Amino acid sequence: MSDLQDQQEANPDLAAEYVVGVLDGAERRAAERRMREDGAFASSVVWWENRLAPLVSEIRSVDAPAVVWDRISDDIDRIARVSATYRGRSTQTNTNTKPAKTRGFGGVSPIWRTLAGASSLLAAGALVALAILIPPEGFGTGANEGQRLAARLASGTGETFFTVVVDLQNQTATLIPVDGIADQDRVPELWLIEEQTPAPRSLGLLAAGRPLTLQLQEVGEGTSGSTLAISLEPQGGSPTGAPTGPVVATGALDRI
Amino acid sequence: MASSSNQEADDGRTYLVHCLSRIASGEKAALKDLYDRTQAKLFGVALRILNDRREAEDVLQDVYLSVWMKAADFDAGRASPITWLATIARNRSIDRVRQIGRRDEKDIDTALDVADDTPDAFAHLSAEDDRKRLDTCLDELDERTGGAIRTAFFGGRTYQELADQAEVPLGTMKSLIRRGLIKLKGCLSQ
Repeated sequence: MSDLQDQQEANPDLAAEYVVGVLDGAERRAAERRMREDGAFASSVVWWENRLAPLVSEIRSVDAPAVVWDRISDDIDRIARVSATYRGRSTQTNTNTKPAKTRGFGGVSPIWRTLAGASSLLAAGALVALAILIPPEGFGTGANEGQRLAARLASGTGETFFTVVVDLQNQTATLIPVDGIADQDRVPELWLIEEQTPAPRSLGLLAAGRPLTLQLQEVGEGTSGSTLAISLEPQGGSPTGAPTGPVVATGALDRI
Repeated sequence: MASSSNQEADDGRTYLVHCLSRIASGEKAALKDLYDRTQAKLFGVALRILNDRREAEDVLQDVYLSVWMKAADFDAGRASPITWLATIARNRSIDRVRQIGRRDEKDIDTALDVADDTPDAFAHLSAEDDRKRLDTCLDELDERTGGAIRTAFFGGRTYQELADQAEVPLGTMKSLIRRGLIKLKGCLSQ
């Protein structure tokens, strides 16, 4: 190897490697952490994104099936419902506290955006579509007995929040919080919001090192249109029995 | 010709920036508008990386939900709206493919490595000057290096996957691309 090669091996341009897409999963997570902590590095990533962007025009366009928009539209309506539910609860508990300056969101609580500063999770662009990673084929149809599926739920920047292990035989889903989900003094609590009964029902706390197992029958069948949401609550869980902290993740149960 | 194309690019960009600001204030119709204008390109991007229609559909859904939630974060001073959208789509697709593994390698190269020469809305939305500069700089690299960088970008392929595909040792592929990227940076910075 030449000296030049050695030098380049020792000092690869990590921002370029990230943008080109040659890094493996763990390396990508490390690069994303660095983007949050190192402004110069983050700028370098943006520089590469802008420079390489023209390559995208060479990729062949393919029309997505119309059903994709329907799903997006449903998800947005669901998010609006969760926001509205959350706002209802929130105004009940805080007698007269109006949310600070709302910026739009079509008359729906701006909680999804304005709380961004309140939570390191949201600051990382964290909104998780829980259902997306659960197999759309559903459970029990053609599944091998005792088969387990594992998936991870990631934030908008790909940071892993949960590992989900789905046991098809016992019809359970176990959510194992990975890291970074709790901030200093709050813990994530999982809620089920059913379409007919809009009061969220707590499914339990998601504490680090304390996996939560859900019975899929309980949350799955007959609750199509329901939503799972995760809010950050004080230690020990919500004091009111309803979500009181920022909602950091939401997902539909339709595809279970 | 070039100036009319730049004009179109400017108009397209302005329109999409406006769309994003309407989305940020919660206008669902604006998201539909943006979706209609950009879904085919972003689906193409996801499909190229994932090589699986269902996975690409899921990623696309996820991308537009992210856009809905994060439109307020879009900063027109940092990136064009197209670049911003394509970056989200690429990152989601790459993360997904790292998670589930590659699907069916066979038909990728034959069917999808072909560049799309048909000008579409996206082609106009990328500024002419930027495109020319990138082309020139990629052409300055030797063919093997330029090809590896393009393949990596289009398919979101890891060093290991690229090395396996080219049947060369991992270290060889790493130094090929790393050297290429340093040269490319030098050229693009001029």
